[in-house]
Amino acid sequence: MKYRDIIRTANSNLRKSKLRTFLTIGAVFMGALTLMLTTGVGQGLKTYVDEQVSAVGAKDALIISVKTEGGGPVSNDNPKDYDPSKKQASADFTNPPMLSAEDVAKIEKTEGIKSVQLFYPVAAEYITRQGQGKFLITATQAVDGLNQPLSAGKLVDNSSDTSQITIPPAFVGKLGFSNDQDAVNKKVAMAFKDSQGQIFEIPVTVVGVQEKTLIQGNAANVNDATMLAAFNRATAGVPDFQRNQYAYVVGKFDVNMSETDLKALKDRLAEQGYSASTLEDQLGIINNVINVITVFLAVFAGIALAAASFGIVNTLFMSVQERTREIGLMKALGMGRRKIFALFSLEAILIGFWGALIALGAANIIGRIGSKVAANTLFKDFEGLELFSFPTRAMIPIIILIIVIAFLAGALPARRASRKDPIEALRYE
Amino acid sequence: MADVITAKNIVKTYGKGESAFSALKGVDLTIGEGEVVAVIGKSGSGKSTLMHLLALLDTPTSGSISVNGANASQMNRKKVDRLRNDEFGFVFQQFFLNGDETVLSNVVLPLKIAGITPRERKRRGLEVLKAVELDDKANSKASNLSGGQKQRVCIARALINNPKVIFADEPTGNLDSQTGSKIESLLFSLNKKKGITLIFVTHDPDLAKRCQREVHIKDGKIVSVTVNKAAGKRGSK
Ligand SMILES: Nc1ncnc2c1ncn2[C@@H]1O[C@H](COP(=O)(O)OP(=O)(O)OP(=O)(O)O)[C@@H](O)[C@H]1O
Ligand SMILES: [Mg+2]
Repeated sequence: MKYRDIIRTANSNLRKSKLRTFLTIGAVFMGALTLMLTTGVGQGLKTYVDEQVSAVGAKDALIISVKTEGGGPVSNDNPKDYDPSKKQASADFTNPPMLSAEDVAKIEKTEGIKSVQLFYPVAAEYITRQGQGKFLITATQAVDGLNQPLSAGKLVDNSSDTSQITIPPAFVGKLGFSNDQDAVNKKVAMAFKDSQGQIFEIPVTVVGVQEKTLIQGNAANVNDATMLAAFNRATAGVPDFQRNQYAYVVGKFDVNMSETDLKALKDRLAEQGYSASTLEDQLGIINNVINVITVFLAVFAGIALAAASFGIVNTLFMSVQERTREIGLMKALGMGRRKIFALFSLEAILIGFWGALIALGAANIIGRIGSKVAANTLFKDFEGLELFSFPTRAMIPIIILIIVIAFLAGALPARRASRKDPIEALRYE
Repeated sequence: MADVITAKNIVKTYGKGESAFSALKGVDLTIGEGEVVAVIGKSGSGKSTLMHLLALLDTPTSGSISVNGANASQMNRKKVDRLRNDEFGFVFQQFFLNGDETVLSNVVLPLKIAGITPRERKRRGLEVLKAVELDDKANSKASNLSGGQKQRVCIARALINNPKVIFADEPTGNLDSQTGSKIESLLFSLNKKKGITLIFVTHDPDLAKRCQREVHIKDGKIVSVTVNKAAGKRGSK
């Protein structure tokens, strides 16, 4: 029998018992759909995070802080010996151990570190503008080279002596600007507390309006000059050894540094008691979480597929049983074992193929609607987040996987069919 | 005249140990080209078993079967399949037609298995249906035919590959006598016109008398062979 005829015969056999075929394809469809949707979500989130991470830039920045023993409040479960050479994790979460001026000098001298940017431990109380109210704000000091998508204006300049800020979109209206463009180059004021607990304001120029991103969230970016000005006022009169304390600093390295060299640099810092991570390292954690969730969901999809493959086994066994005489006749008329096997396993493959194909169509539709709904509700604030993503590169392996599973499920009944003794089959009433 | 099929001392035992049963207990039989042979005997005597062995549908427990001088036990499965597909035609005791499909597609099944193109299948299918006077039913569903028509479809299916040998197991067993004799005439005429070797399995003495040789079988053994001089001459080729 020619393969074309085998395909045609398999197809017409499936059509003969329509309901059974339909139900079996339905089972495969459910399994395939689950797998595609879970993969789609994983892909969608990952694509988004990857985009965000690459948009952040500052690939040559290492965030360096004190490496702490135990990494948090002292645990009494397993008491450790006191070691005066090591910094102790503070029992208070909010006060992590700080880097001193000496530490900074040591970091600067570390081989591979080109420069160090200090991050001043001051927090803004509020932001305001002449004639407007006071609003709480989180302002972070911009890392050199950090990329922040803007809807208007430009990024803050760390080399500038004047205080600059880019504001999140939510503050545009609050601060009385008519639109994003209107906010650019306007003066606002940021408030901080000094060591006596007195509030003071410093003037800052808005240089741009940010777009909301997963990573930046609703935090404003200010340049070094802003934080330095605030820090100097806030710590006026404080002794130097208490004053020059930093929760973290950013060390710059050569962008072209290889993975292994970067690892070595991190190790050198670790030896001196500092922990260092790139922005990608930190954001990579998000990807890990997404991976775990995707795998977890895929397990459910796997269960659905396993159930579907039992459906295929059952359907084909019934089919083989019903067509015993037909099989016997074909064998008596000279059809070989391999062709009989091919005929039945092809039926399984076709079931898998149709189930997967319909599932792909349905997944695309559900994904498109789901993405739109999610974008308008749950992920309203995350510009450009597509919840479901179905790249062919990820979907083709799934379709192939399902066809392979269908084939494996069909192999047992197909083998039984191919081994039928024509005499037995022809005697069968 | 060459021998088409030679069986030497064939034994067929079903089952093992205590429940073992020998359906054939040492049968020697030679069938010549163009011959018409009837295997006749009571129910359970081993006729069908013998036919299945001669047609290489089954293998003997001991003894040997040769087709065209080649020992079947030395052929691989593929060769045996090809031999059945190319050179043998089968008319089984039951029709074994696929009721859901058309008469034509039932008839061309051996050609489909042989891997012949759909066009050629259709051409030859219509040709043999004409020979059994059923060309007008080519596109009817097989289940809609009468018993005699169905048996003619089976004969058409047995003919379509231009076989050298046709095995017919009780071809008229479940037909009325009139239809039965029509089918018989059709088969005999094929022997005369094309020289096709015919092997009938029957328990009908009248049919057996029309054959050149009657092989009487009882309890798995050949008890006698009758040669009918009066029976139609062998087809010449
Ligand atoms: N698969 C089998 N297992 C056990 N015994 C079998 C098997 N096939 C056939 N037999 C036995 O072998 C004997 C011969 O059977 P066979 O079918 O050849 O008879 P038959 O002469 O064709 O009879 P009938 O005219 O009724 O068709 C019978 O007794 C039957 O029960
Ligand atoms: Mg019989």
